[in-house]
This record gives sequence, structure tokens and C-alpha cells, in this order.
Amino acid sequence: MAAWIIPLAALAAAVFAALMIFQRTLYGAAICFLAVILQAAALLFGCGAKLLALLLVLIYAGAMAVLIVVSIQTAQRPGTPIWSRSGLPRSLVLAGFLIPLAEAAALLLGLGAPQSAAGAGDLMLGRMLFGPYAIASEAVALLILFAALAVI
Amino acid sequence: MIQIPLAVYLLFLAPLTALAFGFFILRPWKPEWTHIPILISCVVVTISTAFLAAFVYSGHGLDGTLFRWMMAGDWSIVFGVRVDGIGVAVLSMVSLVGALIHFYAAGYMKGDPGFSRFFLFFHLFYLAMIGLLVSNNYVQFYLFWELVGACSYFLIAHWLHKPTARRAALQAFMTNRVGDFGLMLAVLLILARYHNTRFAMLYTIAPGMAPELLALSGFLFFWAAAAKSAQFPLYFWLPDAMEGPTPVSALMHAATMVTAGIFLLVRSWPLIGSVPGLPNFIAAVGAATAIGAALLACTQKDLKRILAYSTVSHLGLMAFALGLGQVAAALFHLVVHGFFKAALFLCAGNVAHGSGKPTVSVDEAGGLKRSLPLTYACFAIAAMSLAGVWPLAGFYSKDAILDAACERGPWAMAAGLAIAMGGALYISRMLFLTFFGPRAEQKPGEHVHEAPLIMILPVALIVVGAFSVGWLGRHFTHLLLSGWPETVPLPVLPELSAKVSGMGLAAMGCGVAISYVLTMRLPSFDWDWRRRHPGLEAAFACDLGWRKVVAWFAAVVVRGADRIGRVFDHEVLDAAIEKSADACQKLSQTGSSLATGSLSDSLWWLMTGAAALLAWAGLR
Amino acid sequence: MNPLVWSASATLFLFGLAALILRRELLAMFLGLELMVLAAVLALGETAARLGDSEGFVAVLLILAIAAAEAVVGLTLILRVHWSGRPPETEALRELKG
Repeated sequence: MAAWIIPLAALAAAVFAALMIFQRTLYGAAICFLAVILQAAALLFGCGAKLLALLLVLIYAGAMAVLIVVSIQTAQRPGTPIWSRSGLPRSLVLAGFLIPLAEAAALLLGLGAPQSAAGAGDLMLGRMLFGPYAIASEAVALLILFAALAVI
Repeated sequence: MIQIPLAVYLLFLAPLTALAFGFFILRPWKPEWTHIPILISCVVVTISTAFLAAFVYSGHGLDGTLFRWMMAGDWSIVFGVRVDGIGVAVLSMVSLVGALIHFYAAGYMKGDPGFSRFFLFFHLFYLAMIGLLVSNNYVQFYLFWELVGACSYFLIAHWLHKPTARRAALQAFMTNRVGDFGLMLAVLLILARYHNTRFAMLYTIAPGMAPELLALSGFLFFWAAAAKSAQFPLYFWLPDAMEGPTPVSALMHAATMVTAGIFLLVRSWPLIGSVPGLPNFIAAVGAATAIGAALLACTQKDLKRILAYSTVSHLGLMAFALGLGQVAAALFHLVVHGFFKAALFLCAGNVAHGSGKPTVSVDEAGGLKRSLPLTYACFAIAAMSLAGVWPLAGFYSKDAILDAACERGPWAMAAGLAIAMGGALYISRMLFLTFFGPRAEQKPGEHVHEAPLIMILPVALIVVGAFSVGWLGRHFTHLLLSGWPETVPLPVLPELSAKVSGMGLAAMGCGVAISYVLTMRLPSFDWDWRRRHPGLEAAFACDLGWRKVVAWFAAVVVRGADRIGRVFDHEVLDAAIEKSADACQKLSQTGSSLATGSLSDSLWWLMTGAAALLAWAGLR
Repeated sequence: MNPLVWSASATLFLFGLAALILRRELLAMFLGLELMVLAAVLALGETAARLGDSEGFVAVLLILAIAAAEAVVGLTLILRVHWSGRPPETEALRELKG
């Protein structure tokens, strides 16, 4: 039983969030943000919301993090330091990536095996999404489309 | 559904068509032809009226609806016609005399720059009076009543370039508004209580109406009539209205305007007559007006002003007769008066036309019987009719009133005889001063010439009426009876009695004799007393002080209105508006200083709001 | 277990707020904003999982999708500000000053 996973993830999330505030460079802040996302995903996974955790990783850690980094690069002003060594020690960066890996391994190996009937929950989720909430889903899809158009 | 004869439609359609044609087609293209369709319309209206008179005389009556005018909830106002004895009796006189004055005006106004405008308003005036006479409910009556007032305003002010004309028109209009307000109040009272103002309905329920409502509306009707028909408190606009062209004065005095007030009283007589005391009040006011105006007429110098005071006097006589309950006599005198007064005015117009002036005073007249023989003849006959010489028309109508006065009592008899004597006095004074002489003080124009045929013929025709209408008394009573509501019995014209006739003739002879002595035997008397007693002349010039009272009252009203309009508006309303604008500006400045535009400031506000909401939610 | 997640969520939210208020660069503020959304998602998702409530999941899903769209728009706006030649600080955006 991996009872240590959730306290660890919570603690790590808090720490990285605090670090994020005080990062002088945007890259540091972005890395901290990424770490927080991963810890939040771990927390969700630990609570039994596996699908949400996966989606969180996909959308936030995947798509949005990339967007943020690209934006930072684009909006970079010449002369500003890209990376400040004093801002974020390399060990912490390493920890930021290693802790989630460890948690993921532990969770995937079933150490923390949440007990909920996840299969039934996912089924219900699908039914809800395309049943009563179909219009809302469509609206959100359209919203994303418009956002993409707006960017162009 | 009542069958409405074509003549009724023609009464409205002919003038409306003529006005539309004249306004839209002739006025832009051929303004000097504007009178042609209007004269045709006059002829059509007169023929229709003759037909309607025959229709009523043969025992028919008509009270029908042409169309529903407006509706509100459970009540509605209809546009209808009422063709009955009293309406047709006045209508016959109005249409005939009015039509003849139209023909006269075509000659008198020839070459005037405002010819087209004049004729359109003139005919609208005529139409308004006809509509008033055939209305079958008070709301419609009120509409035409106002139209008459508005037209009179435009016509009195016809010569816009004269400030006196504008002032007189405004005075006439304002005074009439004072009276119109009374009529409006009365109509609204009736409308609010009964949801209907049809005469036929009101006649039947009049005996059962609430006494206070009846008294109030009766008094308001008389108030309205006093303004329109120039009775004592509100008479002063009529002499000043002489500033308009002479045909306007003739039409206004004889046919269309001042008779409306008397007609209103006659129409409402079943209501007014059942108010205790009101008829006596009307008789007293009428007698006072008649005697006072006759006295003032003797002191005037302008020919048209003499005639105007004479009209006031005769309207007072009609009100006197009405107050004595003699509806038929009052109406008969109204008709007769229409004829002789129109003739007198048109003769005065001929004198002015011959002298080449808009108006003539006695200083500029004298000895005109040689240069204006036809006008002199017409004037003399009409004047004798006014004075009440047997067997002219004025004798019969005045005699009927005198008869009623004698029956009433000594005071009424004295008033009647005084009025008769005064009438004879001022009109024979005018006759002698204008056509005989000239006296040392008078300077008639050099080349006074007789008027053209178109201005003589209508006068001659009207004079025929002024001569002979009196013989129709019996038929007149018959005409009236066929349309009068049965609830209030109509007093018929009294038979001639030798005693009353003798008294009337004696009073008349007395008046004529006095004026003969004062103008022919003592030719310069009229100028002497003015020279010797300037204070007396000043007193007469301001109508024994009444004009000063009116002017003072008007000044008080104007000052009060000024106080409200200027002081109150300036210092209270405007100040409040400005203060509120200042407050708004202050508020917005304060508010805009809070909006710094800084994102972090906005976030702080956002947080404060969220915290407040949370605290509120937590406290609940 | 639950108090732990809640306190983590609350901490993330407060830190996000702090970042939003304290930082001056637009991108850093944007990250703080996203952190706050994440905290809300975390709390909601945990509760939904504990109660086994599908509607909660649906709400979380929709929030995630909207957050993604919002991120796209927000980042684009930030880039616009950058391209317009203004400094990347909030002080540059003062057009709403009264």
C-alpha cells in the first residue's frame, strides 16, 4: 500500500508552487508549473480519478506547457537571461521530474491500487457527455475551434 | 338607420371640396381665382340649407350619426348631425348672409396681397359655423367652436403688418380661450358623468340630473357664451376685433362668430332653464351689457367701432330675452340682427372703400349721401330696422322681447325700453353724422366714389332681408316647434299688443329725436363735449374703467406667469437640473479616479469583492 | 486523505493568486491564473471521485477543455502585446484608466 504517495505529491505540489512564485526567469516558472501539474495529476490518480489524471497530463502537461514555452521563446526580449542558475537548482529540477516518475511507477504497478469501479465510472462519464451534456460538449468544442481561429 | 338627405352631406362636402381645391390647386397656380370654387360652394350650401329648412318646416327632424369618431372603452364619440328647428332657423340666416358676404368680399378684397389666404380662412370660418349649427353632441360642437375661434384669430390678424391687428387678434383669441375653457370643463363634466354628450339624450335626462352638476355646467355654458358672444365681463375683445377687414367684421358680427355663443345657450336651454336663478342672472347680465354698450356706442367715433358696440348691445338684448325665457324671441332677434348688422357693416365697408381707407371715423365722413346714394339708401333701411321702425324686421323682434319684459315686471320693462331707446339713439346718430352734413369739424375725402356692383348687390339683397324678415314671425315659430324637445315647452313668439308696440315705438322715437337734436340742430355738439370734458371722454374711451380693470387683471396674470416661468423656472427647476448635473460629474470624476487601468489594481478589487462575497456567504 | 488533497488544493490556489498579484510579467501572471484553475480542478475532481459522481467528472472535463481554449486565447493576447512593442509588464496596459 503506497500511502506515502498522496502526502508526497501534495507536499511536492505545494513546494513547487511556492518556488514558481519566486522564480526570476519565466523558464524556471514554467518548469515549476509543469511539476505542479504532474503532482496534481498524481493526486487525482491516487484518489481514483484515473481518466482525469490522464487528461490533465495530456492537456496541461502536454499541450499547454508546450504553448507556454513557445510563447516565452517568442516573447523573449534580447538581453534577458534565459536561465538563471541561482533561481532553480538543478537538483530540484531533477526532483521535479523524478518524483512524478516514481509515483507513476508505483501507481501503475498497483501499489496504490485505488478501489473504485473505475470502469463503470468511465462508462457513465461517456453516457453523460453524449447524453444530457451533449450540447455543452459541443459548445466547448466550438469554443476551442473559435479560439484556434482567433489565434490565426 | 335614419335616411340622411343629400343636403346634409353637401353642407360639409361642398366647403371641404372648395377648400381643398382652392388650397392645393388654385393657391399655388392662380391665387386670384381662389374665390371661384368657394363662391360656388356658398351657393350650394345656401341651396342645401333652403332644402333643409323646407324639410324641417314640413315636420321632419333629423338626429343621426354620420360615423363613429373615436372610441374608448365602453363609450364613444360620434360625428353626427342634428337638423331641427333651432339649428335650421339660424343655419338659414347664416348660410344666406354668409354667402352674400362672401360675394361682397370678392369685391372688397380684390387686389389684396393675401387674397387667397383670406378666402380660404373666410370659408373655413363659414364651414366651422355651419358644422357648429348642425352638431348633435357637445364634443363635436366644441370642435367647431374652437375652429371658429381659431379662424377668427387668423382673419382678424389678416393684415399682419399692422401691430394693432396682431394685438387685437391675440386679444380676441385669448379672451375666447378663457370662455372656451368653461365650455371644455362643462363638456368634460357631462362626459365624465354620462359618457355621452348627445343633445337628444341630455334633453331627455335633464330633469333628472343632479342639481349641482346641472348648475355648474349651466353656469359654465353661460361663461363660454359670454366670451364668444361678448357679454359683460368678457365683451371687450369684440370692438377691438375691428382691425380685420370689413367682410370679416360683418361675418363675425352677423353670422358666424358671436351668434355661436347665443346658439350655445339656446342649444343648452333645457339644461340651463332648469337651474333655478340662472336665467335671471343671464337676463341681468344681458341687460347690463346691452345698456352699457349702447351708451358707449353713442360716444364712439370710428364707424366700425360704433357698429361693434351696437353688436355687443344687441347680443346683450338676446341674452336678456333668453334670461326671460323667451327662447323663440331671442332666436328671432338673432336672425333679424344677422341681416341688419351685416348690411350695416357692409355699408360701412363701402364708405371705407369709397374713401380708400381701411376704416373711417366720423371726422372723415359727413354728407356722404350725395356721393354714395346707394350705400346711403341701404344703410338707412338697415338702420331703421335696427332702431325698430314699423314695419321693418327689427321692430318685430324687438317688440317680442319688449313684450316679454313688460310681462316680467317694471325693472325688466325699464331695461327693455332703455335698450330700445339707446339703440335708436346711437344708430341714428351714426346715420346723421355719416351721411348728412358735413359739419365744420368733418373733412370727408375729396373723391369719394360709389362701390362697384359686386359690393352693392349683396348689400341690397341683405337689406331686403333686413326689411322683410320680420313678417315671417309666425312661420318662424312653426319652424322652431318642429324640432324642439318636448320636455321643456318652447314659448312661442307673442302676438303684437298695441300697448307694448306703442311703448317701443315711443322709446325709439325718443332716441331718434334726441340724436336729431344733438347732431342736426347742434351740429358741433359731438365735438364740443369732448373739448369741454376731456375727463369724460377718457372715461368713455376706456369703457367706463372696465378696460383698465381688464388690463390690470391681465397684467397680474402675466406677472404671475412670468414669475412662474422665469423666476421659478430659473431658480428652482434650472438650478435643480444644474445641481444634479454637477453631482453626476463629481460622482463620475470620483469613480474614474478609482479606475486606474492598472491590472493589479483591478485584481485587488476583484479579490476584495470575492472576499466580501465569501464572508457574506460564511456569515449566513 | 481528503483533508490532505484539500489543503494541497487550497495551497495551490493561494500560491496561484499570489503569483497573479505579485508578479508583474504577463506570462508569469498567466501561469498563476492557470495554477488557480488547476487547484479548482483538483478539488472538484477529488470530490467527484470520492462520491463516484459522473456529473462532477463531466464538469471537470469541460473545465479542462475551456481552460485549454482560454490558455490559447490568453497566450495569443500576450503575444499581441509583445508584438505591439510594449513592455511585457502590466503597466503597459493602461488604456482603461479613467
